[in-house]
Amino acid sequence: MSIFEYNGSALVAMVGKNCFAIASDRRLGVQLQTIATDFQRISKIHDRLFLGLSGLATDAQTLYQRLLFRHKLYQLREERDMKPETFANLVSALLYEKRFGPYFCQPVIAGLGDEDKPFICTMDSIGAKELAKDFVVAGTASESLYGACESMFKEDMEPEELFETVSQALLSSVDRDCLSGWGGHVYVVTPTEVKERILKGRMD
Amino acid sequence: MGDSQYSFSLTTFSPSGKLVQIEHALTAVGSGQTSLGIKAANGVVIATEKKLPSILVDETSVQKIQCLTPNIGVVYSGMGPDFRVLVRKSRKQAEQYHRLYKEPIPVTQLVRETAAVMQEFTQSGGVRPFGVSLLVAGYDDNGPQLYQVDPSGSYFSWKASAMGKNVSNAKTFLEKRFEGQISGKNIEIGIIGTDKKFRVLTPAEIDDYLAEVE
Repeated sequence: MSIFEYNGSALVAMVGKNCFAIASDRRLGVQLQTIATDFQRISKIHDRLFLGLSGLATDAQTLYQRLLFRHKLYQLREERDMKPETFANLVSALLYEKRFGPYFCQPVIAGLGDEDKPFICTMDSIGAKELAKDFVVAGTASESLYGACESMFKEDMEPEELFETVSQALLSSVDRDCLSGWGGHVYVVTPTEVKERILKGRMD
Repeated sequence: MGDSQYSFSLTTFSPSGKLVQIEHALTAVGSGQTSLGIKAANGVVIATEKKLPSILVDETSVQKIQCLTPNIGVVYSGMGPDFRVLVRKSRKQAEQYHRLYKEPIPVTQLVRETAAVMQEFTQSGGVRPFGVSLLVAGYDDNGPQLYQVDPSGSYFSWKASAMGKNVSNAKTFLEKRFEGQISGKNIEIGIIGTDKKFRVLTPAEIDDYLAEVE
């Protein structure tokens, strides 16, 4: 089994009208055994920037700690938050530093940039960035997620409709993947607020 | 005074609490050619006297005002060779920042890192302080900015400043108009505006401005 499939994960981020949504599953497994059903895969870097990390859970935790550390130093030095595009470049550089002994993670970055414009991107485990205008996916359920998002996505969705779309796409995709699931965790971020919601799906 | 007994070693404080080598470095700066900078509402201008040792020197080969990034420029008073080393280090730091963040480095960050380099040379063994003071002019998201960096590594933000010979006169001079002897051949002027691109004026352009002022 591939190292990227050891723990199992599903991540998706989608762009709406002046808002974005980022969602993940909640299962943490050791190959076929389920260890936890409330695992956090998405973390806040600052109020307008979220990072989701799929893949090997230990690398995801370490990478998140390193990135938070870098961002805190940046905030102290420059007296401002990092823009999402800047953060994405930082993640890419950090991952490539380990080119010949990489972190086994695939990050999904979602944030609101200048003038509240939503920004999403994903990259592979050695930092190759993939920017998208509509949605990005990662994890063991990524193939199903691509299909679900492609068919359900519409441009310029309002936050409530975006939440429904992301939730449906996530739940239907993890149902087809034995390594991810046990519910969902969805963040919908607008310029004024962050709404965090837990989804109950097939608990298996 | 007890101070002179401590002037041999950079890394030893004198009883009066001074690092005498840094004082000497400031003297070297104070006897260098005058340079000055002015921050306007929508840009920054820096200029320096370009007095060459002989009329046989090819003045186009001497560049006292340099670009650190497309939107940050610098001028100095003091020792030219020390200036070249600092420019090289600063350019590298600016590029490293860009490689990491794909963003142009903010002026304050570059000034801070350059000042840190200058401070390192006041606390290491076997080196001497840089014999230059820098005037850094830049335009970033926080608007136009002008900073002076000293050999000790301290830096200050200015609305207008002068360094080098005749500093007090130069500071008064900043309020007066230029008089006849100055021409495009013996001064250099660097300018950055809202286009965020730093450039050095050609001698012809300087002459044009001087003609207007008169």
